[in-house]
Amino acid sequence: MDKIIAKNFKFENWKYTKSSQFKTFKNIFSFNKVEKKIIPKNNEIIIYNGQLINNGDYIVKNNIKIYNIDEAISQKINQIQDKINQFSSFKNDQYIEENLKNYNIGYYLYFPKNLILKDKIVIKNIIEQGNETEYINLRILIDCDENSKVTILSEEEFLNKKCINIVNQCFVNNNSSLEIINKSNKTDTKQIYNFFSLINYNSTLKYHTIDINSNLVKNNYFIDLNSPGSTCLFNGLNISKHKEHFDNYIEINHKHSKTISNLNYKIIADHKSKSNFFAKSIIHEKCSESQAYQKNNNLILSDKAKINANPQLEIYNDDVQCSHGSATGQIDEEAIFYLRSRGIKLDLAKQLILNSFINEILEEIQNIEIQKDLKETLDNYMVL
Amino acid sequence: MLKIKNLTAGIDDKNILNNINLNINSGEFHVIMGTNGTGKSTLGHILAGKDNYNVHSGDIIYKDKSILDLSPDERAHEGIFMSFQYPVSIPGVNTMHFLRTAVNSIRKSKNLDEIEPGDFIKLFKEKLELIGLKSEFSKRSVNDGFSGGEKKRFEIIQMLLLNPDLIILDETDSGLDIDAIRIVSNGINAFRNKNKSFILITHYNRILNYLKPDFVHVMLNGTIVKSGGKELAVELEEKGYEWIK
Ligand SMILES: Nc1ncnc2c1ncn2[C@@H]1O[C@H](COP(=O)(O)OP(=O)(O)O)[C@@H](O)[C@H]1O
Ligand SMILES: [Mg+2]
Repeated sequence: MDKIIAKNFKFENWKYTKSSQFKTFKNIFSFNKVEKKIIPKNNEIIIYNGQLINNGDYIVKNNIKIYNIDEAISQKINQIQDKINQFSSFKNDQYIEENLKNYNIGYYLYFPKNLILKDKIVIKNIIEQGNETEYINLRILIDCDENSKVTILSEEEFLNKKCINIVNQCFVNNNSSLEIINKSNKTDTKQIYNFFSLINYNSTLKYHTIDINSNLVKNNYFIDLNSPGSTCLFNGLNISKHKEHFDNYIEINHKHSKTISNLNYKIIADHKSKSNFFAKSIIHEKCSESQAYQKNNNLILSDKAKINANPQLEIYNDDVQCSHGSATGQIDEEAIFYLRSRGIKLDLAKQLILNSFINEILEEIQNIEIQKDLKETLDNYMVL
Repeated sequence: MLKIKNLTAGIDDKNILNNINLNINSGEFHVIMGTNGTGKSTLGHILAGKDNYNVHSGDIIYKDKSILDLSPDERAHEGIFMSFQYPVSIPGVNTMHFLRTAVNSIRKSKNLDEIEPGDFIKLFKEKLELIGLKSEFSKRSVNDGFSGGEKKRFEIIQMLLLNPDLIILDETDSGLDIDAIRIVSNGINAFRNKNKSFILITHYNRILNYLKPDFVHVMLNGTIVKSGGKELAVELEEKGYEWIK
């Protein structure tokens, strides 16, 4: 089994989390095969303890293909290796290197050309195995080909104590639109997550990530806007109620003129949780007529909770439109008094205000069914 | 209905209100006038139960019981309502959802079933129309982006829906144009009956021509220095406050 050699974490995306916090990441976990009969719904792709369960009808009917990554590479499916090579922003990061060398689970999901999907696709990743000292390397590649329109709900259920190291790569090809909603429930999981996306000509990625209920989470997102019309809407919500350590780094690279990014991120931190948010939207020198917007609002609910929020714009071109704002505060006492003076009890008054804060993020989700479902989940989660 | 007895109160150990005494019977309409910064809104907030004010001595008896230990929501359940001088905006909290939650909270405290959503929508739109706000206000966030006058109208709509017994109107007429004062006054007058009592804080006589108060009190430096009938308000508007001192 391979041992990881600790490198210096000199990159700014590792500013708020120390590699030593992950020192239990030592060996690679190997899955035990278990037989369990799971029948996916029509639109579901289920990965259960690393095993792909046969897919629902809707997946098959629409010609959505799922390959083992190794097989896809060796069989040169869709010139996959060439596509992977386009990712320029691979940082010299030990966890990414380790993942790419030694992944236990690796799948390549291909959405064919001209595929306009009415219904969402659900990718359910359920892991019931694992432990605190060995880590699971998970790699998923999503390839959305030209002129397609796809919505993916990615559900992660990591139920027991475990360590997990994920690399996701995502291509959005010309004239396509991909919406990803990441909903996870990973109590007790220690996670390192690296997400890379290439967005091509006249294409849009809408990425929503709702992070609740974790132990130690380090997420890095690297998004490249490559061609005119490349657009990214990044929408994040992070709710920490206990002793979580969340650390999110988001880097959006405008690498061409006429590219657009819109980042909206919110944190709610309670109890003794620690939430870190560092975002960089970079408009490179020759990328005129681009637009980059950043909005960050945070609520801190306890004296002992901590929030570090640091959204930055790095602009190397005059001919661009940008805006940027960040605010961290407590629940407005005047608003609470106002609601209570109308007969609404304290807990319910707080809940109304928190829900309004959350809903601003959820309402960006274009898929109404998913939006409703998440509102319900979070309403229940937020009940104090 | 309300007996304020020797009330001395303020922030920390600093007094804003000094030895206030006021008796209000059911069905009465009282007016409090007074210079800026004299403690009128503070009195309103203390009656509504705002907890950053400290009551240093005295008592507030409402419906024969002291309410000093009641939270703002409990006071609302008992029928106390304040129309704020400066209503806060709460972005993202929908007006209709807010008011339905409030109405149901009060109903729950009286062991009544929740109001049917459909019935509530009808009721809400009816009150919006009565007080002169467009029905689109049911889709907006509480006070968010409302003009000064719209906020004051919305306070009165809340009063009508929550159906309180003791109503404190803190400068409800400030920010309203002449027509709006008439509309809002008509709404208040239609709501009045022998079981409801009012305290209106105002600087102007105009609204009193519609509301016809029973008593007018002058508050200076946190204490009530003079009381009389509605002719006192006319005198104050002519002569100012200097002559009282
Ligand atoms: N929350 C507060 N903190 C500090 N001072 C206050 C507070 N509320 C009221 N005051 C002070 O108490 C005095 C009375 O204020 P207020 O009741 O608003 O006056 P009015 O409504 O009569 O114009 C003012 O000097 C005001 O600055
Ligand atoms: Mg005032």
